[in-house]
Amino acid sequence: MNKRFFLMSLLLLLACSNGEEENPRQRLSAAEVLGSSDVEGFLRASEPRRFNFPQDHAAHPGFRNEWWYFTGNLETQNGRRFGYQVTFFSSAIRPDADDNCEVGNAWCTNAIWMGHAAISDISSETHMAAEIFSRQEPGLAGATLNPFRVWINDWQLFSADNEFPWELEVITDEFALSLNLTAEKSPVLQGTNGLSQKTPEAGNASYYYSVTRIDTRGQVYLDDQRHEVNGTSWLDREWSTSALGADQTGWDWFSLQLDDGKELMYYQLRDTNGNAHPNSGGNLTSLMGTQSAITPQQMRLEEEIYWQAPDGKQYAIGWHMIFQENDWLIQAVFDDQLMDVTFQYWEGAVEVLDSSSGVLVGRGYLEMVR
Amino acid sequence: MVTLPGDLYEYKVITGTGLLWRSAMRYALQRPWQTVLNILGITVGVMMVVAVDLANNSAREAFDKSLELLSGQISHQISAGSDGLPDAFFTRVKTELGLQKAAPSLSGKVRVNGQELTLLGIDVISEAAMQRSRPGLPDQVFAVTGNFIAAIGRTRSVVMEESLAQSLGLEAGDTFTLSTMNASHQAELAAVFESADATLAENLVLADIAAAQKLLDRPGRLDAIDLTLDDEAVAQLRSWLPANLMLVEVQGRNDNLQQMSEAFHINLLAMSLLSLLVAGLLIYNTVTLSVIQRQQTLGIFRAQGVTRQQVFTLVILENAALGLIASVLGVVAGFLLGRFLVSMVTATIDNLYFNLPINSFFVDFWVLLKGLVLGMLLSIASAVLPAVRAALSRPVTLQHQAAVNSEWQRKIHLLALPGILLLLGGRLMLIPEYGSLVTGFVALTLMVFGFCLLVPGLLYLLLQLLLLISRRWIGLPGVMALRNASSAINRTGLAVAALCVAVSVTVGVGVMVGSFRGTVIIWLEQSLPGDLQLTAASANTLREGFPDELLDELDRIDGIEGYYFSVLQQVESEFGPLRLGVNAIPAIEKFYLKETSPDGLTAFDTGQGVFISEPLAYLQKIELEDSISLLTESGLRPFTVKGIFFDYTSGIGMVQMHDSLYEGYWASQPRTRLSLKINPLSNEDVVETAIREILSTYDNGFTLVSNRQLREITLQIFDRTFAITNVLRLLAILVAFIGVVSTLMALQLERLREFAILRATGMTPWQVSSLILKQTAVLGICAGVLALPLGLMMSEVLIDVINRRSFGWSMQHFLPESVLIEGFLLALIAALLGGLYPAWRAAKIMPAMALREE
Repeated sequence: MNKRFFLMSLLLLLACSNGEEENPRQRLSAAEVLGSSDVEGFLRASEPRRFNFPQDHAAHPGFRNEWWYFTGNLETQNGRRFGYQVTFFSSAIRPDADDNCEVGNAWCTNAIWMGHAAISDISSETHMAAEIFSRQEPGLAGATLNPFRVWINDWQLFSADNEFPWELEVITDEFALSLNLTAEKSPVLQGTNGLSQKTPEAGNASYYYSVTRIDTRGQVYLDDQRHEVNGTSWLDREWSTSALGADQTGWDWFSLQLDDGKELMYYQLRDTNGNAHPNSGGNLTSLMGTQSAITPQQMRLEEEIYWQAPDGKQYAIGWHMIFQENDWLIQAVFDDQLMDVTFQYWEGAVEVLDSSSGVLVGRGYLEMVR
Repeated sequence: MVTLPGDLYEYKVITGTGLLWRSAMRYALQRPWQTVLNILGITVGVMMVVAVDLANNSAREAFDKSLELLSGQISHQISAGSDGLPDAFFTRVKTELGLQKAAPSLSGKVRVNGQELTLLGIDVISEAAMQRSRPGLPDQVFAVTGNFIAAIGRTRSVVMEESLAQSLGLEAGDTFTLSTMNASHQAELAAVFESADATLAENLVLADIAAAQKLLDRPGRLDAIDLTLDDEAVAQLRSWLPANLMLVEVQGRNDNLQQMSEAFHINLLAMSLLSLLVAGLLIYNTVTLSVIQRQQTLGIFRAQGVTRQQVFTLVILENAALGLIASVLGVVAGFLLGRFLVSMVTATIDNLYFNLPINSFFVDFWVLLKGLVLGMLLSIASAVLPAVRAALSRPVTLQHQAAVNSEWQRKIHLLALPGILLLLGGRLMLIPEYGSLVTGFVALTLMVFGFCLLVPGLLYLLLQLLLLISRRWIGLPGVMALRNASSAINRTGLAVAALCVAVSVTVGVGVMVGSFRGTVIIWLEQSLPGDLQLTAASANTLREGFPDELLDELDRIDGIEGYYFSVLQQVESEFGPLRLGVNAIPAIEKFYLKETSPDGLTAFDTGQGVFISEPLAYLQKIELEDSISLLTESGLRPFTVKGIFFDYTSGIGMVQMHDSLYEGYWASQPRTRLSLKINPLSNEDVVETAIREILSTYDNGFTLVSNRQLREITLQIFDRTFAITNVLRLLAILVAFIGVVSTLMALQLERLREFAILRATGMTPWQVSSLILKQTAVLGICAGVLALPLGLMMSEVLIDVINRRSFGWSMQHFLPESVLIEGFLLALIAALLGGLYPAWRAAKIMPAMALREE
């Protein structure tokens, strides 16, 4: 969940006119796109489904949007820390890939892919981001099984078979990542058995699972230097056709990996007044992998410190999170972790501190779309 | 009341009434025809220069914009020559190399509602990463967020600029027929876009690569992959690239193309300047006459105290005023004509060098200004000598024309020497074989001037000769006409020289075009082997070639003596893309050869070397036994040049090789063309019908063309390519015609008083009129006769020097009689027309009135 909706809106804007528009030159607003108006022919996330792995790691054609979303905190032998994010988004232009395309033409495609990658170099407080776009065919991007492979051009996530460990390889102009990923827990189904309702309206939902703790080791290449790193990653997988309501304009998303072996995911949707939307929610995963849902009533979130982006937008980089018996400070490892790509958002590594003692109790990632 | 500045004011003071100006004005008004023709001469001259300059500039702009559209802002292209490259290779470039700034490219010509358009296949998503702005295309943001997306991955969908859609009567959602050379397809207008500069997109149809492959019948292929690379990436890519593909540095290639087409522009410009030169000579001539005519009036003014300087200024300003009117008209006319010419110029470039997806009319306002200034300057410059002459006129005293004339006759030989020197000098400049085009034109101009200087002398001799041989038959009036013309050699000589140049331009260009066409016809006869050509035309057949069953069926047709495969494709080379022709016909049978190595023919037939086209040899300075590198399936390989053949189809060059040689380097290429030889005893039509019957079962997979048709088509293309030259020739004829009429009319009008005397001495009006007509006819004939050697000399230079240096073509010389007769008649008819009005005036003249002044 998260900015992904917003980012998908970009792709959806790409896809906004499918020839049936009254006025094909008229641009649709994000709200219209994310509303439920243009969903005909697409599959909807309207009821719980049965998840199957590894099949569900691959693409789900028929839905409009899908993503593979990695975030993680990494560290070198001598303690240099990095945060990273790598995302593969896909967005379908139309429900039917064969619609008006001659069989056998390699360029028949109905999906467009977008990749985002970022490194937060904590020691120098520098954040680098890159994006990539591609159509799906001919073989330029995709998500397949046997063996498992998700790719956009030369950015790729792959496995020798369909199982972990996975390899994640991303090369950008400024940095490169080569990470070996091994899941430490089974996938966690978010929402209600993996159906994550974003608005009260039926169908405005996604199928959503996470792999909340992934042992990660590999290399970070930066400034012509290679850094051997290891750490912990988080994978979010989500697919949907329509999700956001017209009254939802942004969100805050937390993925926290606590030192006691638990993981917490919480997203707070924001309405047009900037208040938390009732469809916000989250999940707590125990050390053994059991999960419990978090409702907005159980969660208290307070914004403490702000950082202002060059465009004037305020992002909360220090939070107070009160949940159950815990009282945490969630602090960005440094302020400017703005994703300076086509559509800006803030996504960065955070530390979780016990607010009374100031002791570090976990790490994670925070995403804010304003 | 108009305030007059400076000098003009002075005239007013001196004369009290602006008499000088009134007299100038009256002079012009009294001779409306002469004034109009004079203006017309300059107008047409300026029009030609402006039109050609505009067309040239516009075509250059179209060329640049087209290059920018197709390869602007990219550093390199991956190219394969032949039939492009497989699209799977693009996937490898993106996924294996991760080159972000890489975009597929595929384009071609299509027709919609009879309009020729360029279909440009793009992948908008790759384009977004390329971040290039391409002329005529919507800007990047729009391309990405706009409606192009509707067309992605659809094989029928296209997108076009909304004004083009409107002109084709299409709206988004409409389906329409779009055809290529081979087939017609149903396409759907998925969306329209707005371009910041709609004229740039007026010939563009955009489509996703999926649709471009389908609609252009190029399944699975790309023309090239466009790249923006830094040096490091270039090195990396070079080492990774398979041998059969080539990484082309775009700037160098575009420069090369531009240079080649530049020669064509210079060629056109020079032709228009030649016309302006003719116009200048004519102006000079008319102004001189006008001064002579007014010598008496001017003398009177001088006596009244008007200074020499003032007389000089008067004549100059007078002509500047005429020049201004004429130049403004010329610029307007040139603009209109330029609009028309530009399509011809772009057609030429299109046929010879490079498909222009953008061929709009671009107006360069500097050209208009330049034309205006040029026309003015020319008018003024042509008036300088006559103005000096006017300024030198003595007060009151009349100059005796006869005295002046005899003085001139004595001086004729003084002109002849520099004339001969100029001719020789020009000729010498032409000697170096690889001299520049510009020197070629300078030499031509020198030779024309040299000849002009010889004209008075030649005219004198010619007239004496005529007098000598015709004295007995033409009677007294005839003799008078000849004598008169000959004694006034200072004026007639000049007039005839001007006419001569004017007529010779039409002859020279006419002979050149005729020779070129004649050469092409011969060449077509010799270089199209076989009688019928069968060509694969569908996606399938282009990929698979000719099925065996088809060949068996063809074998069974009576009258087919034999067949052989051939290939006609593009090949990458060290000199850029070239055309490659291949078949198994012995060299001796198929080539129109210019030169070969001693063992050339055998070497060719045994696959030991290649033949290259003459333009390629000339422009790239390749000689026999040199080697030329071509991109084969196994990489760039050298081939020995064993012969050079004539070729007039391409400005960029062609290579021919024997099937056996091709086989070794392009083993995987299917044979897509079949030449059929028909038994000379059989009826070609019957055989053709039989073949067509067989082909009908192959679902439009093949097209059959007879060589007869092919020749016609080639000639049509040829004519279209050189339509511009013909138009320029017609314009030159127009200039010449106007010039001849106006010059001779002025010449005779000036002498009305002489005719009045003749009338007074007893000649009837009819006799005087006929004398005038005879005289102009004689001068016209002389101009026509003298124009022929000059025209032929010009054609020699145009054929052997200018065209060679422009295109690298050598041609045979043909002398189309029609051109010579045309030139001669042009001079004669225009001369008679020029004599009509003076003859009419002279007949009406009252001897007493005219003689009162004597």
